[in-house]
Amino acid sequence: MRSEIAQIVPPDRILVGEAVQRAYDCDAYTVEKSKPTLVVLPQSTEEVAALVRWCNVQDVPFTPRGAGTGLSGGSLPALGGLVISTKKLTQILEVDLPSRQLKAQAGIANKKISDAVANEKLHFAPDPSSQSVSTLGGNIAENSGGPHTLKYGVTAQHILQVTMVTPEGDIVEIGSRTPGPPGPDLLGIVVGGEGTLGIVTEAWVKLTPLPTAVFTALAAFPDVPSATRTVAQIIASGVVPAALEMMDHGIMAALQAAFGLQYPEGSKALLLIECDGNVDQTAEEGETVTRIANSNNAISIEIAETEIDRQKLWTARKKGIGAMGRLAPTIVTHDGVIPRSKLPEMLDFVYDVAARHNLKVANLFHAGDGNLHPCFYFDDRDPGIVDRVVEAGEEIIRRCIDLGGSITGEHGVGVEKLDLMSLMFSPADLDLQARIKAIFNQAQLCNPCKVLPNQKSCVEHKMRWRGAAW
Amino acid sequence: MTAQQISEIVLSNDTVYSTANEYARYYAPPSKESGFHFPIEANGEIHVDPENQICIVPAGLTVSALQEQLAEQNLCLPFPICPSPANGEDRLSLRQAIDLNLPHAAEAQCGNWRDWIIGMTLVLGDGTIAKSGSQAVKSVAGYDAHKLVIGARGTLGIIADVILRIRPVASRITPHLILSNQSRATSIQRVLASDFKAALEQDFTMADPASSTIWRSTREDIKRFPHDWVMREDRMDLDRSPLRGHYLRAKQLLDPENKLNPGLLGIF
Repeated sequence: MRSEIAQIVPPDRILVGEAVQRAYDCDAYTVEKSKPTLVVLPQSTEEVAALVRWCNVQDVPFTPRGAGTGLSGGSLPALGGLVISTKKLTQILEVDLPSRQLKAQAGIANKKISDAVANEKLHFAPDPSSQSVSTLGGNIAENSGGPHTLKYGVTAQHILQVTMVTPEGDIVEIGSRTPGPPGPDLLGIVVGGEGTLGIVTEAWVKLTPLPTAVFTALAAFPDVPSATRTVAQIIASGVVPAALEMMDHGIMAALQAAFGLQYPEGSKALLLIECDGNVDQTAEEGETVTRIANSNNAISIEIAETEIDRQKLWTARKKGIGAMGRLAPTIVTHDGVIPRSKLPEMLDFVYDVAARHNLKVANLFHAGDGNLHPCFYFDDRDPGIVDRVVEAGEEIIRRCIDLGGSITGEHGVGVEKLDLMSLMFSPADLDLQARIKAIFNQAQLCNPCKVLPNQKSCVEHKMRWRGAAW
Repeated sequence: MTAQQISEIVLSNDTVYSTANEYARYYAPPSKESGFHFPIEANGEIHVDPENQICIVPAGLTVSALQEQLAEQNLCLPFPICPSPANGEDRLSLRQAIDLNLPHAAEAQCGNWRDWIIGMTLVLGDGTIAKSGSQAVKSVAGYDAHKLVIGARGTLGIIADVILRIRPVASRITPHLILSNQSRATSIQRVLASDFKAALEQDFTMADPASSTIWRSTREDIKRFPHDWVMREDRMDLDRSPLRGHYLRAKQLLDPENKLNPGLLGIF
């Protein structure tokens, strides 16, 4: 296989061997693993297309991969074969400042797009926590979110047009640099298609003006319900904060242990609130959210006066997950969504589930859009604990669905949530989704065994992935 | 009309059309077509969840009826769907607006239909009733079939009901439009921002500088610009699209007997 691939890309961009297989057998969702045969690093759309055509001729499965920061196993090479990495596709190809648009290759890191246009006071608005490394192509595949998507929207709202290699190896352009063209919205399916509908190699993205004013506050509350009431009332007021992020006492304890961060005595929950826009609007919104937080018994509200202050307040949010690493060797983060009004009830449920399963849990999440991230932290060497974590996670996700929510807000289905899809969707709904997938991908070669449960030839393999990490 | 009723109509007719009024001009002249035409509905119950700022709407309901019911709870879709009230939100159903992906006059500030629709119930050509999306304002669970049908002119599924994000009335946007004295618009053109000024040199009815969108009464002789698109009355032609194969495959999978709005995409 290696010699044939070397006819398409130079040998120094073909990776083989046991160490490579280990490095590429999963993404940041490490619970399930499957080894690729080899990893290829194409440098152009044409090379990607040639690789895909070769896979079709040889009947070899292939899996696209960006930075490997995905949290649901989207780039796990489920049936082996080739991993087609976008690691060498990192160029900015064109910038159209008058139209506020930029074209880049799919392997560029999200933040590098914003860095490239910062002098023009523009940025690429989607900001997943992994943005310093996660790639544009990965963000498109997963329709990534992030703290500021409450106001600015998820990745889909910022992608105008993509160049995609179809599962058969053709090169197509989908979408339009002028948004909203007449006709079926194929781009709306590709963004969020988890890399199962083709391999996006280039994209035109929207650039968004940086705000002229930013109000950032960190409010501490005596209990979780006071913080969640504040969230509900801010949303009801008509203010759309740029970010509305919540951290509970578990995260606060981790931050204290890891970084020595101190919070007012009696604090059990933190709410990071950021409003932005023009000066007048931002000041008005800042006053509104401060008044609402105070009316809900905020113990303290620390408001950033400078950019340095602002970065300091964001430390609690940005380093929260990292701090969890000080508490336990293993962390499993879930990604359910609920209607915002159900936050108090849902958090009570999360704490109850953790107690019943004798597990430790902390919560750090996008409160403004009801996207929960309960983090179970544990030592996976403890007998039986992994099973308890899995059971607890499924209970939480089931409750999200019962409350009218979703099994995933931004991490994707991948292989992690395959079995949960049938909780959220009926057989007819899943059949519709299978038909939608078949518009683009009728074989099982392009990123197989993802998103839809019980796909042909995947069930027996799934037994092999599961438990590979434990 | 419920999804079940729509399914029965689809199963008992050879051909169905999403529309039966003047907005049909953006699809095709309906009076010349036989088959069942779904009426627009001035009355219909919507389900509003004010705390979570979402609503579930029967798709046949007029936009004005939707806005009136939302206003009773101090909520709204915060953008004017028809460029001016005189253009008739009382004669446009939500289904029609979504089938057309009808451009509105505040897209730069609010985004287009795709940004406000979080779920949908669809009836396919074989009568299947299926849901897509959910009531969660943020979800990446599975393939978003509800996005595919936005702009598909009813050819891939009949929209039965829609789950929309909504906002407090105070959030309503008043677009800053450039108006002229030309007669009613018969086409809509969107260009890159860099071409907007040049595009205004041709006669127009109304223009939105923020989204570089121009409503024109001109029909055939519209000057074209790189990367622009034009939505015209009466016809649409996807037959020469490089994505023709994808469209044909979508039709084959979702409406193989070509029952739903045949002819309206100029391809099937």
